[in-house]
Amino acid sequence: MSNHDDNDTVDRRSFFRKALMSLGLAASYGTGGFYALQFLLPKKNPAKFRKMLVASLDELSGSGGKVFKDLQGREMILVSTTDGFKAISTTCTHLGCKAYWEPDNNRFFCPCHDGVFDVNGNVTSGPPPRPLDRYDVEVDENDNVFVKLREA
Amino acid sequence: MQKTSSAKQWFEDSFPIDLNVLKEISSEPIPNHLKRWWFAIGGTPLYLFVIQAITGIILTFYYVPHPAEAFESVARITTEVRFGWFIRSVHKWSAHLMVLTLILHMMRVFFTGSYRRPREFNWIVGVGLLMATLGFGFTGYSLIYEQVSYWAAVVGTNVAAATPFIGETLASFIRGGPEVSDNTLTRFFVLHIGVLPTVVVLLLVMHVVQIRLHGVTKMRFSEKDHQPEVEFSVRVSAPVTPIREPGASSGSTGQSEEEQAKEESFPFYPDHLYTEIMVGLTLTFILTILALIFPAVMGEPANPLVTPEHIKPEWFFFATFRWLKLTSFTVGVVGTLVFMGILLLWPFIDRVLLKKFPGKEISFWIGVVGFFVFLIFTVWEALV
Repeated sequence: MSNHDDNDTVDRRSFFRKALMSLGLAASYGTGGFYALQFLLPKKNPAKFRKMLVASLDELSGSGGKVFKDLQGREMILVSTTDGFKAISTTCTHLGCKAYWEPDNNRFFCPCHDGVFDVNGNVTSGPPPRPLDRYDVEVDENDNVFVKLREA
Repeated sequence: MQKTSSAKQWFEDSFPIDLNVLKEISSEPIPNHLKRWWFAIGGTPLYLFVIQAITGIILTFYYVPHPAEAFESVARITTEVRFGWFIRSVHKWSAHLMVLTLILHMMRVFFTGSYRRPREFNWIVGVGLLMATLGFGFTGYSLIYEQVSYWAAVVGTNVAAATPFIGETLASFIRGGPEVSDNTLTRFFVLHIGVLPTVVVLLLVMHVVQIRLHGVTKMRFSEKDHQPEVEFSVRVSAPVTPIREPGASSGSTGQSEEEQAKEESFPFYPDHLYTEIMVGLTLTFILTILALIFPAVMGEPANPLVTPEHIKPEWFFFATFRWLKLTSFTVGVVGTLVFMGILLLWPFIDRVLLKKFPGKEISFWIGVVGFFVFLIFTVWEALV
């Protein structure tokens, strides 16, 4: 190596020139690309929750449950489960279609990929990976039933 | 006379093209088996893509990419705009035929082993084109904003969300937010009329340049064997050789015996171009008939609150749809992604198989099984 000092110097210089050039290009276009990506990816807002009055205990005492809409306008069902009152979202946990209540079969059925859930929202057959989402319910001193829901 | 020659001179000055080079470029030797149209099916998706571009641009003059107006604007195109129903129907049927002919073309390439060295890269480009086309189909029918549009968007983006590692980011990018919303339609529109056409044009250029560089795959069967079954069995097991031997670009004279034993060829222009024009004309005829007899209609407008009791995607997603019904969530989604990966990297998987099981065409049988599974799932979903 030391015998070819001249060549070595030239090589090293051209190597550094190319390396700097590549680094500069990568840094500038890389930064541009990064910002472009940030532009395209939607902002993530932290989820906000709000308590919503959905029923009174009197309403729930006799019937099996109550259907109401969440803050995005999607259907939810307030039911009495083994863990007390729960608000069950009818959005299927498989791929997001709307499951609907089949009173005759006493089950939730999702028409997209044949997912089936029982009255508590647990999967009884089909591909859904987990039970329907359940939200906690609060009952105040005046027997008003509140559900904590995600804001639109 | 003076005027003509000066115009000619102007043209020649403006476009200094060497006619001999042009002739060389347009005389791509095409192997004789391409005189049979079913070997020339790769040109049909290209022809249909051009039709899609033209009808698509026309439709964009009237389409409004906003959730409140999208459905209405498509309805207006269908019922009020002069010949709107026809343009929309041709666009729809051309899309269906494009997917169908792509599948046929891919099968031809697969079962003739044309993806093998040195054409691995072009297979990958081809699979890219297939996926871009399916992306066109997916975004396209979502733009109509009817019930199936909306729920297909929900299911499709949730499948994307389940991709390992990048899923959530990818889905959020496609949807324009944490879930399908007003932004989603805008994004689908941009993908459908801007991003995907650009991607497809770039990939098409690569695809065609690759074909031109390697030449059309030559079949090593004798021209005497005209019985299809002989062709098929030979074709399946025969290794493929590029048609363009070094220095054998045009002349038919001075061929060695070995060269004569190989398949003869004819120039691209004019013979093959005429074949393609005839195929194109037939396609135009078929599209017109389909548009007249089965015009595109309007479904129910999208309702984010209710999934219809009976819902199905377009036929080319039937197999995936059935697969998602049959398997658990993880197996369903990961299986779909793995299948796409296998398809993309098939030439390399094939090489490993060839090395492990020399002389046995395992790949051929995998292809047969794969195709029949696809066919059975598709028919099964169509019947229930």
